[in-house]
This record gives sequence, C-alpha cells and structure tokens, in this order.
Amino acid sequence: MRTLIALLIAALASPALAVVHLTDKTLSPYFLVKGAGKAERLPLRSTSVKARVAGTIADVTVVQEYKNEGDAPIEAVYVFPGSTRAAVHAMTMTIGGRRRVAKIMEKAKAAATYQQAKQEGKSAALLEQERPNVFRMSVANVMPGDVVVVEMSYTEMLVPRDGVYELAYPTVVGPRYEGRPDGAGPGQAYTHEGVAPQSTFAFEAVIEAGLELAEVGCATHRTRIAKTALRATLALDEDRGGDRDVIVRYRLSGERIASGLLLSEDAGENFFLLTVQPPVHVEAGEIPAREYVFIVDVSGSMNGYPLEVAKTLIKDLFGELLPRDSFNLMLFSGGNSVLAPRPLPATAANLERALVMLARENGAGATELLPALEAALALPRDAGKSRSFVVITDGYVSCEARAFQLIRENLGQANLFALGIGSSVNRHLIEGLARAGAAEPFVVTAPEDAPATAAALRRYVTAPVMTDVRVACEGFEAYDLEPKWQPDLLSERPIVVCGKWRGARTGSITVSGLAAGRRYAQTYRVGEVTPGKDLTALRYLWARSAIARLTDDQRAAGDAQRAGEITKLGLAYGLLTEFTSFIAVDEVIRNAGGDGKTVAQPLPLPKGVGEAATQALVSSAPEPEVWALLVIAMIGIAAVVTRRDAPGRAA
Amino acid sequence: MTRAAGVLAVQLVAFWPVWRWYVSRLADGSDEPWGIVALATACAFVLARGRLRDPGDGPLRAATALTAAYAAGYPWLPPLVRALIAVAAVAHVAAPAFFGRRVHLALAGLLVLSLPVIASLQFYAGWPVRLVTTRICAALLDAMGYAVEPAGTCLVWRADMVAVDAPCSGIRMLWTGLYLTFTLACFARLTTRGTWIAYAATTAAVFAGNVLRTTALFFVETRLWPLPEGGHAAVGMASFALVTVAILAMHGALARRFRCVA
Repeated sequence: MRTLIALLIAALASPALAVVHLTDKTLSPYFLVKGAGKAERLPLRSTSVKARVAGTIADVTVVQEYKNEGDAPIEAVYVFPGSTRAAVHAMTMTIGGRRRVAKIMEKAKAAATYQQAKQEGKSAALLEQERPNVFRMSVANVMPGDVVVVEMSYTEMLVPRDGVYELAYPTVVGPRYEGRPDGAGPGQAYTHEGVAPQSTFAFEAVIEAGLELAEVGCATHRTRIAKTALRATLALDEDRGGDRDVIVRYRLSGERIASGLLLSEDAGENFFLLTVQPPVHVEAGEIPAREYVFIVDVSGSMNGYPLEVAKTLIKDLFGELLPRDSFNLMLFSGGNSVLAPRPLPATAANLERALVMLARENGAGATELLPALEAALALPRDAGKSRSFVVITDGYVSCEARAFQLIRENLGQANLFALGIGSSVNRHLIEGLARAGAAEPFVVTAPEDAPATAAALRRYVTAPVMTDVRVACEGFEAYDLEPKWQPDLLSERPIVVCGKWRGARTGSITVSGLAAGRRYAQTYRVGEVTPGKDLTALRYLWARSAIARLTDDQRAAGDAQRAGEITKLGLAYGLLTEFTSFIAVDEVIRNAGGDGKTVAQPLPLPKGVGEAATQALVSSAPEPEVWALLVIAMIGIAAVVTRRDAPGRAA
Repeated sequence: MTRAAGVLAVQLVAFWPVWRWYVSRLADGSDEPWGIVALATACAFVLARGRLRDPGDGPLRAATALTAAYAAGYPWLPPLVRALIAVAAVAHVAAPAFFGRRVHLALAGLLVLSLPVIASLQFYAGWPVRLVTTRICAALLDAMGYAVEPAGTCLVWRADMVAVDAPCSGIRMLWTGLYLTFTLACFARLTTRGTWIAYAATTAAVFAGNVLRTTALFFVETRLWPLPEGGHAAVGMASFALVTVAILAMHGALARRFRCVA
C-alpha cells in the first residue's frame, strides 16, 4: 500500500507539471531558414552586350550594372557563363563617377586583395574563372543607393561548322550537379520556373566578315537585323531574354577554298593569324581518298549500350566508305588487337570481317588508350590518302596528358576525332582529345541521342577537302605556332594557325596540300599584307590557344609546372585564366568595418529547364516503405504461427 | 478491482501528457505512424493472456522509481525520453501482471517500437550508420574490381555518384526487423537472455542486409545492371526478405533453447 500511495503521489505530480508546460511542443528535427531582413536581394539590374565581328574575330564588351536598393551594404556575387573560347582581357569598375581599371593578378593574390579591400570598407570588383565556361563576379561594399557598373571585354575566334559561323553569347549557368562532394560550392539560387529574368538584357552585334554575307539570323530571340552585302547589324527586340543563350548564325558566300592572312604589329611582339576555309559545297570528286583507323574501346565500362551504339556507328560509317578508301579496325581494352597489319581496301568483304570482329566483343577489361594510340600511329599508312583516327570510348583512362601530346605531335600524320559514349562520359578526355586534334568533340550520353550525334560525326569526318597540309615560311621568321602541326582541311573544319613573327615584314607564307587530286598552294607575300590597326585581338587569341593547350595537359596531369606556365601567360597577356583573376579596387573607404551581407544573384532557370533540375542529380538507394517491409514481416510471423499450429505439432 | 488493474489505471492517468504527445506526433506527419502496429501487437499479446495477477512489490517499486524519475525530470526531459520512461514503467507492471515475469523484454521492446522513434533514429543514428555502410560497400565493390571511393556517405565511381542518403540508412529495415523479432519473442515466450540475443542478432542481420542492398543498388543506379521500373524497390524487398529468413531461422534456434516455462 505504501508503495501504491507513493506511486499515486508521484503520478499526480506529473499532470501538475504538465499544466505548467502546456506549451510543450512536439519536437522533431527541423530546419529553420531565417529571413534576409531588408537587404537587397537582386542586385544585378542589367546586362548589356555589344559584339563586333571583324573577319572571324569577335570582340565583345559586356556591361553589368548592379544597384543596391536596400538599406544595408551588400556584397553582390553573380555567376555567369562565358564561351570556352573567350579570351577575357580587360575589366573596369565604375562607381560614383570614378572609373577603376582592373589589374590582372594571380588568383590567390587577387582574392586576398579583394578580401582586404572588402574588410577595409572599399568598393572592389573581382572577376574569377570558376570553370572554363563559368565566371564569378564579386562586388564588395555596394552601399545603399549605389550603382556599380562593371565592364568586361573578351575576344573570341569564330570557327564555322558546316559552313555556318556562330556567335554565341551564353546568358545563364544552368543547374548542374558538381559531380563530387569535395568539388561542390555553395548552392546557387534560382528563381522559380516560369518567372521572367529579374534583370534586363540587351544584345547588339555588328558583323563585317570581310567576305559577302550570304545570310544572318538569330533563332533564339526576337531581333532586328539590317544587312548589306558585306555588313550586318543585329539587336535584340526584347529586354528580358537573359534566360537563354543568344546564338547568331551567319554564312559566307564562296565556292572555293579561301584563305586569309592577318598581321598585327605590337610593341615587343608581332602576331599573325592564317585561316584556310573550306568551300561551302564540296563535290564528291573533290574529296581525296580516305584512310580510317577506327579505335574502339571494348573495356568493361563499355559493356551494354555504349558498345552497342559504337557498333551501330561503325556500321553506319562503313556505309560511307568507297572502294578507293581504306580502313582498319583496332579494339582496345587492357591490350589491343587489330583487324589487319596494314590498311585494307573498303570492300564489302573486308568491312564484313571488321563487323564480325566487333560483334564478338561484349565489353570487358581495363582501358589502355595510350598504347592503342601509339600502336595505331605505328601502323603502316596508305600514301596520298587523308588519314583519320576515329576514337570511340567512354574515356576512363589515366594517361590523358600524354595522349593529348601524342595527338598534337602527330596531327600532320592523322586527323583524330573523338566520340564519347556512356551515361558518365569523361568529357574532359573527349574534349581534350578533340582540341588536341583541332576538332569538335562528340558525346552520346543517352541512347536516344545516338542517331543525331552519329549523323553529325559522320558529316564531320567523312569529307576531307585537303590533305597533307603544310604551312611553310620563306624569308619570314614565324615562331610559336598554335597549333604546331596542322591537320587536314575538312568540309566542316577550317585550318586556323596563330603565331608570332619577328624581324622584317618580308618573305612569304605558303599553305599547300593535296586537294581534289591536285596540289593546292596559296602563297602570301607578307610585305603586301598591311598590319591591321585594330588587331590587338591577335595577341589574345594566340595566348588563349596556348593557354587552352596547357590547361588540357595541366588538368590531366595536375602539373604544377604547366600551372605556372598558364599563370605566366595570363599575367603577361592580361588574360583571365584558371590561375589569374581581374581585381579592381576603389580606394575610397565607404563602409568602415566592411560589414555587409553577401547576396548571390538568383539566376533565372534556363528556358525549357524545369525546377526538378535544381535537385542534385545524384542517384540514391532509398529503402522500401515501412508498410512494404511489414508485409514481409507479417508473412514471416504467419509462417511461424501456422507451422506451430500445424496438425501433429506439439503446442 | 485488483491491485494490478488499479496500478495500471493510475499509470494511464498519470502519463496522459505522454499519450497526448503521442497522438499529436501521429497526426502531425513528422514521423511514420507504424508504431500503432507495434502497440496493437503488444495489446493483443496482453489481452490474449486474459488473467491479471498481482505484480508484486518488487516490480511496483521499480515502476514507482521510474514514475518519480518521470515526474522529477518532466521540465527538462525531451518528450521522447519521457515517453520511454513511461512505457518502461508500464512494462514493469504489465510483465508480472499479465505474464508472471519480472521482466518481459520483448513486450517492452514492442512498447518502445510503438513510440514515434523512426524520425529520431534517422536524425541521430542515420548518418553514422550510413557512413559505416558506405565504407563497407566501397570496400566490397573494390574487392569486386570496381574502383569505388567512399566520399562521406556517397559512393563515387568515375563520374557517377550513388548517395547513401537519409532514406537509405536502413533504419526502417531495423524498425521492422526488431518488430518481427519482438513479436516472435512474445509468441515463443523467449527468456530475457534469449530476447537480448535475438535483438543483437537482428540488429547485425539488418545492418548486413542494408550493406547488401546498397551494394546491389550501386549496380542498378550506375546502370551496370539495368533494371526496369520498380527494380529498385524489388532489390530492397529482396534484401529484407533475406533478413527475414535469417531472423526466422535464428528464432527457431532460440525458441528451442530459451523458452520461458511460465
């Protein structure tokens, strides 16, 4: 009884305490997101782009205006895309009527300078490269009421594809999963699907290609276009079109191989740019005999649809071969095997042998690409034919830097085209191989994309126009050519050579090769070419080419020496790179203490991209629902109960 | 009215804040409501016994101490901890009253599982379990020839990443596995020692089953094993089915050796 009384007393105390704590809440784990107060949330007000195309060089100026309409100082951060070919060479910041020209610095030093300026309360702008096609602009100490204008300039070489020149201005970075948790940065905010871009966007372009313009158009935006024979001007007819890339396309007239030489003279260094354009239409008779070596990855990771797509593509490409062409097939995984010790004529019987050899493969083993490339280059070749390697792989190899170097060194021996197939293609390898081969990369990630990509690859690789291309200088001292070796001229790919020159502007450059069965040669008397007054872009284009080559190798090898070379080039030529940034600081202290909220400009979702794209594109392995698990548990319980109650069994 | 019935009635009254909290947790969607199944199962076993006995002074003293701890700690203890103390107090009375046992671990286990514990287990135990699961899966896959790296609670293979995220922790499988074990233990009248062994073995089996499930789903998610829609869930169910078979086999062995006479 005593115990019972004690229990009652203890129990009665509980409700009394419960009355005191009537506000007791159900506590389950949750996350609280605090409001941002009255700080400016959308600092970017407008972006204005002006592009001028002279010949095949585009000079682009981008003006971004940031305004703080809140009541607290902020740091505005804006992530925006750029062309992978862009050579960003200048930046200025204007605030309160004061214009500050940005300096190029090593990335870490620029970031430290920016942080210091920010802490000291000075307005500063920092432009960094996050990825080859993604930039970050940070503007510190934007005071209430401030308007900060940041102007950025870049130069880009326009390379036609299928006779079409494309001036593309990317406008928004789409949601993208970073791929590795240790590489993921802070999450990027997006406005909701269907919400118009919050800032205005203006775009104007002037095109003076030097040759007659056949057609000019923009399929991505409403535009106003005015065109004459040699000049076209284009402007957007809408001001909220910043949710999709601007793509302006134009064609030139011309039926023959055309080449051109541009020269610039600078204090200290002189540059030249030589382009050889294919004719707009290529007749079958103009295509030289071709030799293909198909190098196909048959390792374990290609098992399944990647290898099946590869087989279909090879069969498709075989259909384009003529009896005068020759080919070979090399399969590689841990080792490599070749169909024949030398090129075979592309007869039906030989093609069938190759298909049988390929059909036997199911995908197994490691991926040793470099030995396969070396073996392919060692194979005897048919003289006088345009030789091409077509590499098909998902790209998981560890010898990328050496592979790129090998391809560049042998560009004069064989063209190289890369096709990446697989749900998780190593794009860095595929794009690096393509750049090393002065070609475009082709990637198939989903089976339904295969036919279109295969068709594009087929058009690209099957129409060489001039082979055995040589660039020879006589009496003209050219050096540091990019690329050092020249590939064949294709109907879809011009030849572009940048380089430096020194000494007198005399002598000649001759481009020669075999075209339509005859020797083609075009000689330029250098003395007759007037250096362009406004061709400082050539120095940026040359430096950009060199940096792109070094970047591929540096990423593959993690090479500190190449990183140093990239930094040196970036600083010497004032270019934004992975290791150099632009920094502009206004020395007036306007926000003592440097307090301020960092506001990342929310980006509009790219047009056509749904909100689901903002979720991490990571596979996960969730458990079944509890009710489903209980069903299995109940079956187990029933099995035990019925077994125990079965007739003849003791209870 | 017997002393046992009186004590139980008083407890039901005394712990009304716990029942109020329990109902609100069921209704607010913050946790999975399947605790009701465990509660119903416990009640079914209790009612099947029918006869009430006097619990004895020893269990009453223990129940009193727990109730005092509940009352004294009420202002500071989180609701879930209060609820755990309350069900322990109830179990201390119900075990001798209905089953003639000082401690009925399986019944107590069912009452604990009846509480809204899944969300809290996910929050506190989910990440460590996932971390260990990821490490073991990565080692298994590496042994199979796939160069998989563990990165936190993610399996990284080439550019693919399979996340062993919150819904993959195995906590649901653990809850259901323990429900099965405690139910079978009640049914077979396992001793306290037998129930402890069953509990430990079930936890190990569920963990192993979750590792197996995650390893298999790595192949599915990276499309090395392309499966049709629903294949993902099927792999999960198949893994738990294997765990269930293991639990049933263990139960059979334990029932032969650790059955209560009462």
